Amino acid sequence: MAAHPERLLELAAERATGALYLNGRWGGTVFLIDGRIGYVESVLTPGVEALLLRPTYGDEHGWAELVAGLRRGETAPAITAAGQLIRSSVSAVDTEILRRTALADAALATLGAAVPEAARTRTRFRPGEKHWCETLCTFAVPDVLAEVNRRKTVLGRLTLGVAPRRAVRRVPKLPIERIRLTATQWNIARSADGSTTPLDLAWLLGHGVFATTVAVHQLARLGVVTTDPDLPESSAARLVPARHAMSFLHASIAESDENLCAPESQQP
Amino acid sequence: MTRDSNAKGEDVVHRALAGLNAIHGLISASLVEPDSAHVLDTVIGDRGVNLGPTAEGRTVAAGASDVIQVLDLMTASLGEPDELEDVIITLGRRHHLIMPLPTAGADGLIIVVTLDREHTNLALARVQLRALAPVLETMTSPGRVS
Repeated sequence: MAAHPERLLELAAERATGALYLNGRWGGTVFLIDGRIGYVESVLTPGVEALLLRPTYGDEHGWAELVAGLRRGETAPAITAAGQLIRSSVSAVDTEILRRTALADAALATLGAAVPEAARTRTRFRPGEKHWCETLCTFAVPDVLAEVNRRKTVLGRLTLGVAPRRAVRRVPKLPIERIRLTATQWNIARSADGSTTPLDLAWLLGHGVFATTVAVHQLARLGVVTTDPDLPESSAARLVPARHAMSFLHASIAESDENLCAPESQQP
Repeated sequence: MTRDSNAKGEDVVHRALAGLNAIHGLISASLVEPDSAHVLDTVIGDRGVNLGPTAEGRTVAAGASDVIQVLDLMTASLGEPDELEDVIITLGRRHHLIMPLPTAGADGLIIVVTLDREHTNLALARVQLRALAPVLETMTSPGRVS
């Protein structure tokens, strides 16, 4: 995470306006307005256009086609359609909420990934460039980085092998006799075929990758999905112990404890 | 809050949430995504001190998200299908009010309101909170026209 925040903090200090392109496999774009973050875009996470368009697609096949294009970086048709939606039938409140959800999700992918030393990431800043979706609110760079760190802490505490880029599949047999799932949980279970990762599921559902990963963990805990490709049918009947429960609160407290301890532990 | 000179609109989310400023004894109110515990916006009330996005605000949001997750699981496990309307947590000096907005955002949001017990009317606060729901809960669906 070396190069990104430094360049980003520089631009924040200069109160720059424009787009910071972070190249490489984990790359993304940070849109700055007067040194504050207006939006973050990543090819890995569904952007505001995907979140806006998802509920308008009743047809799964049509949606899968659009997603395939978006994940290849072909955003123009989706942006046109989302722009029409904003002008016609979606409220400004809805749009802004989804914009913030997409921003935070992309920030984790763009600014939170540990970039391998070998993949020397280049950054390029284009002054004046703006994101297509109207920016009603900007966020201080340290606030966005704090949210990124909080999310990293949560992901680090997920058990049962659940991770954004690790495939999950439905268990062949439920560990308990009866279970009731929310619509989102059902959609995850339905699509978890052993080749889909939480990241893929997020695109399918039109939800955030981070939120979907947490939801997948919850389902793994309930014994509905598993990350183990070789899980034999019999061992699926084990109930998962309660210690695998993920708590945002515990993660938040652990994170602040780590922050308090960090300066001391770095002392020689 | 925006500094974009081309921005036509004001921050509509913050303005909607700021409607809760009318609640007497309001310490803070946050719009939170419970699936991620992400605080989308916060307003500080007459009994609160604005310290920005504080650790306390994030802790309350994290705790409320956990509460919602547990209660969703409980509601789903009860015999009759039912929905969670709100949660009231009563501490010695404070109330925490949590109201789910199932159709807001990408997959549902919650409003978390913290009140000073000495200066608030809980029943009235619940009514005021419920009145805000339709503003934030506008839903995108195929063919919907607003």
